Amino acid sequence: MKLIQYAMGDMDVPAIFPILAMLIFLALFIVIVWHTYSLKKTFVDQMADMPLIDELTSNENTSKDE
Amino acid sequence: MEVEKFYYDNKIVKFFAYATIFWGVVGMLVGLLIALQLAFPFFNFKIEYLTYGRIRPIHTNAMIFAFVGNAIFTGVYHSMQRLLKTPMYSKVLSYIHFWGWQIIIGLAAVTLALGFTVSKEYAELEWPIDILIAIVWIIFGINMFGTIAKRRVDHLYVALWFYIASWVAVAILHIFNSFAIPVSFMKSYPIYAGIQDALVQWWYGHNAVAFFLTTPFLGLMYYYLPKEANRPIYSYRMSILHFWTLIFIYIWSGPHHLLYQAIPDWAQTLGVVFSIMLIAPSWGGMINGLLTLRGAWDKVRQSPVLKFMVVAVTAYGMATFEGPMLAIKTVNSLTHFTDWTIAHVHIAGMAWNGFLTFSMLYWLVPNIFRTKLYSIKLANYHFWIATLGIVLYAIPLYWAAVTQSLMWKEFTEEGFLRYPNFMETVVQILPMYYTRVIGGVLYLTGAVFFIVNIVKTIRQGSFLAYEEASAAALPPKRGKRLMGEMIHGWLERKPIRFTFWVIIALLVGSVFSNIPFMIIKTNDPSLAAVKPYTPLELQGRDIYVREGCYTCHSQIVRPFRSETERYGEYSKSGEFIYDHPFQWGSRRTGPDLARTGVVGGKMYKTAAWHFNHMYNPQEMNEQSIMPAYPWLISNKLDISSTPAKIRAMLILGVPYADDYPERANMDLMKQADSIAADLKVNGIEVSSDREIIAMIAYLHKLGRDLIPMTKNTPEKEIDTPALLSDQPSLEAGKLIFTNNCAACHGALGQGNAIGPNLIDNFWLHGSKDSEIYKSIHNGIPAKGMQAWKDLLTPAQLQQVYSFTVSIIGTTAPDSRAPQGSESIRTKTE
Repeated sequence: MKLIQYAMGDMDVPAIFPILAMLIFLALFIVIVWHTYSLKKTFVDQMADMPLIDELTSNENTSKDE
Repeated sequence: MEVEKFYYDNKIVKFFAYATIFWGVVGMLVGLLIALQLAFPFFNFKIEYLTYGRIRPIHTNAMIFAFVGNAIFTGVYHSMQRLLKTPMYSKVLSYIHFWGWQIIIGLAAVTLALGFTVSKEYAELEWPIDILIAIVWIIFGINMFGTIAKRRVDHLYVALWFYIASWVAVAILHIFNSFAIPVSFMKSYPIYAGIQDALVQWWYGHNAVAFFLTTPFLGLMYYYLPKEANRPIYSYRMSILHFWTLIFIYIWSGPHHLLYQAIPDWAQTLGVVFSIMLIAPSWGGMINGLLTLRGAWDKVRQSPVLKFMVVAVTAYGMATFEGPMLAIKTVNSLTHFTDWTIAHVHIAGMAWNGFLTFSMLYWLVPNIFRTKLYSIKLANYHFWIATLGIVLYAIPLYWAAVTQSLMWKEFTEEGFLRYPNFMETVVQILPMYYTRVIGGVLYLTGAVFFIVNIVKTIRQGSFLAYEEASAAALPPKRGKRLMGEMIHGWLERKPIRFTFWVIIALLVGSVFSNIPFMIIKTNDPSLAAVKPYTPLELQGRDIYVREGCYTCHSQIVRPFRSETERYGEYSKSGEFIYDHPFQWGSRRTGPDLARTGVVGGKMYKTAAWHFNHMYNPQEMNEQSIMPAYPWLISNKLDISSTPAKIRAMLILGVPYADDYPERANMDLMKQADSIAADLKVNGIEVSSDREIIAMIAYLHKLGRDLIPMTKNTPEKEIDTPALLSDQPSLEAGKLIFTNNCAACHGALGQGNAIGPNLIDNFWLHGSKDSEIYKSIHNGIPAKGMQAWKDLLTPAQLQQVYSFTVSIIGTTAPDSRAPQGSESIRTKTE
């Protein structure tokens, strides 16, 4: 902690934080986009269907005054 | 694989659903009451437990943690069991969670009404309740992760990711924002002070919106929208992108609540940049939701569930566009501290959270009661009346925000504030407040339709407490990545690793935006001139916090000319180093108070003025919407707590002498006696042991330490202008007098409890023309009269001076008794 405090205390422009943050985000974003679009369609479809197969009865919301 | 039979627990779902409805109505009724109070202060009833400052936090806590909180748990307990094909991990934990949460809500309502508050928005509750929240939240977590552990479905669906992230983030936020030093059973001081406290609070506040009001509801959207539309989510790929980018970005954006305030520029920039970036994942989620209905939009016409869902998701898109726009500094300079913020949160709260909750319950209640919705027609009435309610709520507030902000900022050609009297800007927006009440009534009426529909549905149905289901058990030892399996697919099967990465995503932003303030000295400078609060001021500050004054008054002057002209010197970060908690506020229903203690400053008011104002604000200005605080005059100040408070401050690093706790009350009484004596000189008899004395001491402390920093310019000789006698000039002077002077001197100049009689022949500051003009021009700062030279043009000064002289010798009913020495003026004077 003291080391970090010492190093950061000398920093003239703490504006490096937003820049560093942007870089971290961009790296993460690129990795996720690449990864997501590499997923197989069969897997993706199977996962997307999960709420629809969680029980035998789907929606029964039809009203008596319909 | 053998198929196992098990039972979903619908009973706990029903409990949470009922609690959602009950607390929703309670929260909306309290919301309606505070909307009425802002329009008509009579609705404060002069009862301390019902004043705006105390019940506004009850409204926000009720809507966020009681209504929305219970709605989240309803949906989570219902959908999680089905997505994981298992009952909840522990029925006992489910019910401890349920009752624990309801007890917390009840305690919150009672303690906030009693004035036990930390005053940090959406985190107002005192430390014992904070601990209870942490315990109940952990119980919920054990139950949730336990259910995940005994699941019969290998992959966690996207809704569950959002539930996990919400749980983790809320735990982190709640714990770190709640660190405090207890003073007594129901009183504590946050460990953070000033800008640190502000940063941590808005890191919490912004992310309470993110991880309590947004991510759990996105989980509900990802489950209930496909269910009702009977089609899968539009893009599972997009949901992965949506999830990770959203939770990563959200956590950085808190500083956008503090733009142009006393935090370093780099932190503000950080907040702005990440807020704007937030549009992308938010809109990704909205688009994913809406496009799920592609080819099925005809269903929206038929299904009230989808109607509510579509408006909810659209409102989510609107609010998540509006939020980043409000985080742009130039936009923020106009909208911050105005009703725009209130409109923004209500678009999100009423339409996104409210409508999605209604949608979910319209789907869920018939489902667990094995029946059909009682009436689609009634649900449609609910939809339209509530939508109209939202429109009538939000649009007037947007209008009020722009109107008031522009009035605050407008200058005359001569360079003076056009509306120096803050009250003028409040009166201008009162019609919008009346309309807002109508919007709230409509929304509540819609909720009544909803309750009738749900009650009738329940009555016609038959509740299935434990619903039979079956699924194959998961094979053991399924941890390794399968051949060709992508990392995310594998991660979806590994809840602990998944949670680990969620924590990392959340911590990166938290560390970057908070830690520098703890360790870099230059980010949190101190000012040598700033002294710790005296014991009496500290007690007064606690009363200020107790009464929720921060809900209407900010204590931070932004570096805009319109603010420095109105309030005085702009705020510096070093001013707040002893402020546990900070009191910057987020809305200026009343004026900023950061410079109230600067003698001779634009905001200075005398002890007598504060006394009378607190006793009855409408007597001072009949258009004021501030509640009266008569109990501050009747309540005796509890000084037995002083030593403990000073000790707590010492622990927090406030530089009192080590033995000061024991002798603090002696200083307190000395200062209280001097204020009481000052009041007595002004004709107010009050015992020095009353709470009002401490409140006055605190208000007179605000900004006072900066006096040595202001320039002392020698007084110039003032040229007294000629007296005007033409009717138009005197009429103009009368108008200025009515707007600016009548509050203290009476409408006819007859004087009142604050200011002296101006129409008799007795004078406190001289009867000569030059002396009268000087009093108006320079004010009498020591007695709370401001220098009108700063607020009026020379022409206006001449007009109001001429009018004031013209009414000398007139008569008026209820004139104040003479003060000062008698001197009959002659015309030649």
